[in-house]
Amino acid sequence: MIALELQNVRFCYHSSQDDLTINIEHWSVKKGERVFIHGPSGCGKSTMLNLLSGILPVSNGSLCVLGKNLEKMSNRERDRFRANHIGYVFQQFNLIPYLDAINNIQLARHFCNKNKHHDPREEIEELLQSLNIAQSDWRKPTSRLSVGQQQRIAIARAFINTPELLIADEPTSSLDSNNRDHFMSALQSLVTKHQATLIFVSHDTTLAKNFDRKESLNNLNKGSGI
Amino acid sequence: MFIKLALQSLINRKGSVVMTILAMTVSIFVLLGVEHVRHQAKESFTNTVSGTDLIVGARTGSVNLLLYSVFRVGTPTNNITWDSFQRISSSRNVEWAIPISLGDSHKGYRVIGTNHDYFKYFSYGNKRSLTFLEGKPFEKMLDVVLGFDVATKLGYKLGDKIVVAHGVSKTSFSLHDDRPFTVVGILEPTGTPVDQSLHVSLQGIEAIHIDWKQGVKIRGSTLTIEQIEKMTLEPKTITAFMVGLKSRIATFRVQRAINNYNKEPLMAILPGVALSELWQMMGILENTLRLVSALVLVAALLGLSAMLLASIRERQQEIRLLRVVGAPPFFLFLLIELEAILISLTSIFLGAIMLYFCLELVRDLLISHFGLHITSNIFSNSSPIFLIFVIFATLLAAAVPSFTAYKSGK
Repeated sequence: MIALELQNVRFCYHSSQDDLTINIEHWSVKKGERVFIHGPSGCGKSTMLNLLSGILPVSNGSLCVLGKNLEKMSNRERDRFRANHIGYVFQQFNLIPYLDAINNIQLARHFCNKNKHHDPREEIEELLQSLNIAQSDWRKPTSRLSVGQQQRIAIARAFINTPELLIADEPTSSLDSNNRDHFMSALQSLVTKHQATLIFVSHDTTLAKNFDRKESLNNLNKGSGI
Repeated sequence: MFIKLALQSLINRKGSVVMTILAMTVSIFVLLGVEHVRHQAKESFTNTVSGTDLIVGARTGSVNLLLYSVFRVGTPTNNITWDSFQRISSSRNVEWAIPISLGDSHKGYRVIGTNHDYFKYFSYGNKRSLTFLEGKPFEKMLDVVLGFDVATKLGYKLGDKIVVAHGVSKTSFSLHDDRPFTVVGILEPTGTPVDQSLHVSLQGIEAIHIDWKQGVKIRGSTLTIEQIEKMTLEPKTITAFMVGLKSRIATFRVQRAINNYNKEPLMAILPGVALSELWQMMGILENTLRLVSALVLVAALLGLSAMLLASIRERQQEIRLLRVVGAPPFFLFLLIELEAILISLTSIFLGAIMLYFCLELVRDLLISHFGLHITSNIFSNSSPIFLIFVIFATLLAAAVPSFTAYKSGK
């Protein structure tokens, strides 16, 4: 089963087709596969992740995510699809700083159609406990928590809707080695538990050993990047 | 979640939000205050006199005659003779006539010399007659009937003695302290200047002025109350009188006859027409006040718009995050609009409370200085329209920042 398939995907920020940011002829990822993507700054990593998550629409080509052609969806449909099927973790600013951990996670549930009438409180608490977030920190504004705690809450937020695809955009860059290891092990265990497909982007190639496949975006992307 | 997010976001930016709320509160206070005072002033003036067909006084402006005779504002230009009053009141078209004699006061409240017809025929609001809370109309020469506010504010009860001062200023050194009046009645509240008046008989007014000349008591006068009571105290002049006609059809005929009265220069006015003249005069002021208050609101709304616009630039990460978790750009648009509405609603609430307390504070001042009875109940039939207007203006003002957020999310 294919989770991701890109066919002649092209994307440019401006209307000029000469200045392509992303130009991928073919690339696919199997369901449940864990792919590590690396590449220098400006090679188009964030743009590609925005295309995969449906935040940006492709200019040309076919982009199939979890069996759905994103290029055929309207903006609203892509937003809904992302809320229901894709989890996302950034390098930083993963959380609304003035909301507490529970509300941040509930916010992600708010846009998801799954289990709409089911109170997610129990699931949220379970997730936070499994990610070793002390109960005393659940109701604090997340801006008052450490970066390591914030990143773990970001994982909880990303997994609250049990996504089939998880995209992580350099999530360990701002963590020290101890926190990075905690983060990676928490992420891997949740990915295993939910049998999710993982697209992980990082500069830190030492992390590649935890993944099924390692890809260089420079080799994949024939465009100019950004 | 939507409301919680907007609320928490505003709390997070409390510094700028509080300043914006303050600006909006002041503007809504001004707008609401102007509308309330305007509306209440009209209602208060309109309710003060009803069922009176004509008001007759010395020749002056019609508004001036209306103001001093009914609202106890300003001073009369001249008096009219008792003889003229008797002639006109006994004419065949006149059903009743209430004489009014002004010029004295008690602790800033006006004293009105009148007769029993005042309690019988004077009506206010929707033709409501005066009723007594306690006691009865004056019978003796030195009896006084108090308006409701006079009795409650000064703490008077039946049987209390009251000394009247010469003139209408709040502090007078010319007191009629040798002839105090006795409280025999207290009127029910009317919401009109009657509440701020003391009512005595015309004989009472004559009695306290019998040994006075040019505003001062004649030195060496030894007249006792008993001696005065034996005298026939018929007033020589009165300030004005109200007329009720047998038939309204005769109103203009009687008015013309009084205006052409050849014994002395008199003037008869129709209260409703004089009120319209007053509103016409006030119209320009009213519209200017409305315009200024609307401009104050516009300024505050522009401030709100600027604050929200600046916040969008600070919230790019937040917008990105919301987009990633599935929020459509329209959600961002609505979020900013909701924040603006929350600010607006808070300001309306605070502005209304501020206005309520301010009205409570200046109520007595408005009554004593301008004869305006303004209630502190600021909710009226026009309140929902006002609320909708402010919310609509807020939505409009927040449209620019909301659209910017929408574009950022695209």
